[in-house]
Amino acid sequence: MENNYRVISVQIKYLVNLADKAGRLSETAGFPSGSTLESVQKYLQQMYDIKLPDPGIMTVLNGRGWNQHPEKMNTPLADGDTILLFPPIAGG
Amino acid sequence: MEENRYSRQLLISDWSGECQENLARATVFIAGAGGLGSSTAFYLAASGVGTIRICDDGDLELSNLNRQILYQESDIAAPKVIAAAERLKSLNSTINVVPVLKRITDATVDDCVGESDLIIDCLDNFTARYCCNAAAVRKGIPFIHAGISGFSGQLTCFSPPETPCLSCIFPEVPDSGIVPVAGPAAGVIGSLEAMEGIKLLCGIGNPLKGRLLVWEGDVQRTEIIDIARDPECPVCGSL
Repeated sequence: MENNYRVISVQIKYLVNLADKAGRLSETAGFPSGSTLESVQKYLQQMYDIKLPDPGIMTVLNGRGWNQHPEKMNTPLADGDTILLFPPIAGG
Repeated sequence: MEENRYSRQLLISDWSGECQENLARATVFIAGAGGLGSSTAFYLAASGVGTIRICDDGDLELSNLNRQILYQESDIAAPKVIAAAERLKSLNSTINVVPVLKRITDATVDDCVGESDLIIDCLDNFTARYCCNAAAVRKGIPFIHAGISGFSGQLTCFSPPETPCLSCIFPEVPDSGIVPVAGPAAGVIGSLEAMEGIKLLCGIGNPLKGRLLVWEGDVQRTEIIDIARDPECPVCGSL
C-alpha cells in the first residue's frame, strides 16, 4: 500500500524574549502535509507555552505578518517555510 | 570653514554638495530625548541638519545616564530638551535647535511636529508612537520608527502609501512600563535612525522602507523582515 504521508519542514526563529521562552534561537520543526499555521500555533503552545495570536508577539510567515495572509491561521504550510516570532520593542 | 566641518562626509561618492544643502534646509522632529534621541540628535546635528526640533517633557534623572549620552551629571533635574539643545548647539553652532518641552498626545502632536520634513521616533511607549504615526500620515511626511529593549532593537521607515504605517504592522501594542536597556543598544539603533534620516533627506542609498530590521546585540543576530500594508488600516488605509 502506498504511503502518501509527507513531512513539511518549517524553520521557526525565536527573536528577543521569545528565544528565552523557547530556550533556543531557532529550530526546524516537522509537520504533516496539509498542516496550517494553526498547527504551529498548537505546537508552540504545547512545547513552550507560547500562545498565539498575542498582540505582544509578532508572528511572521515568509516575511508577512500572519494576519496579512488572506487565510490567516488557516494559511497552509509549505516545505521550507520560515516563521519568525518576536515582540514589538517599546523602549527608547 | 563649514565645508571643512563636513569634508569627511562630502568625500562619500553619493554625498554631494546638494545633499549637504538638503540637510541644511531640513527640519527634523525628534520625538523623545532619551537613549535613542541622544545618539540620533548627536549625529543629525553633527551631519548638518539645519533645524532639529527635539521634544520631551521629562527632567533628567541619574538612572538615565547609562544610555542618554547627551547629558552630564550637572544636568540632573533639568528639563532634558533644554540641556539637549545646549549640548547640540555646542557641537554645531551653525544649526538651529528648537527644544519642545511638551508631552506628545493626540492634542499636542501637530503643534509639536510643526513644519518638520521628517519625524524620528525616539519614544519609549507605543501610545505616543501612535500619535506621531497619525501625525506623519496627516502631514504626508516620513516617520522613522525604532524601539529598544535589553540588548535588542528594531527599526523601519514608514512612508505610506509606499509602505505600511506603524498601525498596519503593530495595530495594538499595550504599553509595558519601564523597559530594561543596555546603553550601547540605544547607541546602535539611534545611530541607525540618524543614518536612515540622512538617507531619506538626501535621497541616497536604500532606506529601510517596507522592511523591518530586528537586531539582537546579545547574540549578534540581525533579521530584516518584509512588511506589508494593511488595506483596512484605520490610519493609512484610505491613502
